[in-house]
Amino acid sequence: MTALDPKKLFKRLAADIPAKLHRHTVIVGSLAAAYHFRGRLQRRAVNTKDADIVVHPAGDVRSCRDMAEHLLAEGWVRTDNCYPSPRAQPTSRLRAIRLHPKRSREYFIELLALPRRGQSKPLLWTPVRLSDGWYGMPSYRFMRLTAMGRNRSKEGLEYASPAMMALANLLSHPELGRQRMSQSIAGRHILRAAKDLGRVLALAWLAGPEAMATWPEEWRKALEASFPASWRRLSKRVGSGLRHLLDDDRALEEAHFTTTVGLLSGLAVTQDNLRVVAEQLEQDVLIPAAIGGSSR
Amino acid sequence: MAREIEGRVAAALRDFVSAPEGAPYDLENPDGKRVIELKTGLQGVRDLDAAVLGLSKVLADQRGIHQAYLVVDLPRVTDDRLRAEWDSLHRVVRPDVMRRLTLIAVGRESPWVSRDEPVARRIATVADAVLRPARLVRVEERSAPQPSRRFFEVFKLLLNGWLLRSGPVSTRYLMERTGFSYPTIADALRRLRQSGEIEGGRKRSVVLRAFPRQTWSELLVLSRSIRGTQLFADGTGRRPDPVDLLRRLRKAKPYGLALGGIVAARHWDPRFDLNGLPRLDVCVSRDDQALLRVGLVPAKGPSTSPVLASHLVERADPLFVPDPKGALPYADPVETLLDLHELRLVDQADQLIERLRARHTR
Repeated sequence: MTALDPKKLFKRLAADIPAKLHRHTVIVGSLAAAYHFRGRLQRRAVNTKDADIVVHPAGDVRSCRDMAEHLLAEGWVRTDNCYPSPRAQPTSRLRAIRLHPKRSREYFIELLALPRRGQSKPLLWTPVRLSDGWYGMPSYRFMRLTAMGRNRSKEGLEYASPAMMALANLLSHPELGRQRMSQSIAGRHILRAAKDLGRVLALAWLAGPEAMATWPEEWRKALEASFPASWRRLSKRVGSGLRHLLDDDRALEEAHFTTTVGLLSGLAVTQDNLRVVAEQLEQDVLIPAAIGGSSR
Repeated sequence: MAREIEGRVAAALRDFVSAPEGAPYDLENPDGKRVIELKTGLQGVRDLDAAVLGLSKVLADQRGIHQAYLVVDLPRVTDDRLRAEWDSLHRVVRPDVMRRLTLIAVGRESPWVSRDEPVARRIATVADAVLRPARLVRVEERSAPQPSRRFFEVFKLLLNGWLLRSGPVSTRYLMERTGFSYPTIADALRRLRQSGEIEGGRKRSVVLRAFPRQTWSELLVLSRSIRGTQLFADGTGRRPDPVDLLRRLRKAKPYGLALGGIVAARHWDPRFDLNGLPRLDVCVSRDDQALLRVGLVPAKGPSTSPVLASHLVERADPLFVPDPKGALPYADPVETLLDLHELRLVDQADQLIERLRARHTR
C-alpha cells in the first residue's frame, strides 16, 4: 500500500489520459472515495495500490484500446502481472491491463469494462487486442451501477458516487463466501467480501447520516434503470451480506482491518464504531431500500 | 420551615420582629433601621451573589435602613472563599451600600462575619444555634424519609401549573395526572405544607405560594437520580452532531419521546438567549431505550462528549406538548428548566421562569 494524494493523482490521470477519452472514463474504488471525501479526510493521503478506471459505454473496446495504447506510448509501463496473450480465447487466460506511470511503481491503473445491461454473471472478460497481443477487460456485473449519478472532479475526470459504490459492493456479496484476496494487505490475505463490505462501512462512516438519507431513493432509481427486470428482487437482498458480516466476528475484524489501513487510516475508528455504522446503515438505508423494492 | 426558623431567630434576638408581609427581608427592629434577611438552602457562591445583590438593591432604595444583616447557611463554602467573594462584591456594589451590609455565614465550625461588631456577633450566635438543629432535622429527614421520586413528580406538576399560571389544582387532578394513589399525593402535599411552599385554594385545591426555592433546590441536587438521566454518545466515532441527531429523531418520530433542553426552551421562549445546540435533551415516558440506540451508545467517562441526554418522566401524564408543525412534542417547562440547570445555563433558566410567568399573566 502506498499513501497517495487523491487530488494530485486525479490531476495526473487527467493529464495522462487523452482529453477525448475523458468522457469514456469513470474513476471508481478507493481513489474515487478518497477524492470525494478529501475534505472530511482533511486531505490525508489515501492508502491504495491502484486506481480503478471503468471505461464506458458498455462494450466500448475501442476506447479502452485507444487509452491503453496512448498511455503506453506516453511511457506507462505494464505491471509484472500484465502481459499479452497470443489468442483471444480462452478469456480465462487473458491478463487485465494494469499500467504503472512512467518512472514510478507507487501505484497502477487498471482498466475495467462497464458491463452490458443484462449481464447475469458476476464477472465477464472482454478480449482487447493491443499492438502486442490480447488482453482482457473484466466487467463486474454490479459495476454498471457506478456509471449512474457520476460526479465530475475539478480536474475534469468523472468518478463514481459513494452511494453507487456502496450499492455495487453490497450486491456483489450477498454472502461472505470463501474467496480471499490474491494480493495481501499489510501481510494478510483478507476475505474478499470482508474487504468490499468494509469499504461499504467506510463509505457510510465518511458520508454520515444526512448524506445517507438520500441513498435509498438513489439506489432505487439506479437499480430500476440498470436492472429493470430484477431490481425489486435485488432491492430486497441488498443488505444480506452485511448482516452476515455482522454475525461473523472474524470477518468483521478483517473488514475493520482493511478500513484502518485504507480509507479510514488514522481516524481511530474502532470495530465497535463500525458495528454502529452498520446498524445506522441498516435502519436508515437498507430497510427503506428493501421496502422501496416491495412497494412499487 | 422557613417561617418557623424566622420566628425562632426573632424570639431569641428579642429586639427583632418579623417584617410585614411583602417586605424584602425577614426581620426588622422596631424603628426599621436594622433588618435581617435569612437565606437557607443556598447552593454556593452564585446563590450568595444573588442574595447580596438582592439586599443591596433594597438598601439602595431604602436609605432609612442603616444596617442590613444577611445571614446565609453555606456549610460547604470555606472561610477563605467567603472572604474572597465578599471582597469581589465590593468591586461591584456601591461603597455606601456595602458599608450598610453585613454578611453572616453560619453552618460551620464557628460563624463567619464580614464585620466584627457586637450586633453582628449576636445575630451570628443566635442564627447558628437555631439553624444547626434545623439542619440536622433536614439531614435526618433526608437520610430517613428522603423525598421520593413520586414526591418530586407531584411537586413538578404543581410547579408547572405555577409557571403557566393555570391556578389551584385539586387532589383528584394530581392523582389523575400522576397515576399515584391518594396517600402518596397527601404525603407530598403534607411535605410541601411543612416547608411553607403551598397554600390552599377553594374547594380543597392547592397552589404554590411563590417560586418554591427550597424544594426546587433539593430537586436540582437530586435531579439526575430522580429523573433517571442517561447520557449517550455517538457510537460511530464521528464528531458529535446534535443538530443532525435532532433531524433524525424528528424524521423517525419515536413514540413516547419529547424534546427538552435547549430545543424546548426555544419553543417556550422564542427569545431564548443561546446560540447553537451543545447537546440534545429528551424526555421519555417509558424506560425503553431501544428507540434511542441506533447510532447511540452509553457515554463512558468524563472525556466522552455526550450528544444526547435522556430523562425519564414517570407520571401517567407526561405533559408532552404537541408541536404545531407535527414533529416531535416538547417537554413541559419544568423538565426544560431542569435540563437547563444540568447544562449550567442557570441565567437562561431564571430568565425562562420570568418570561413564562410574564407571558401567562392573567
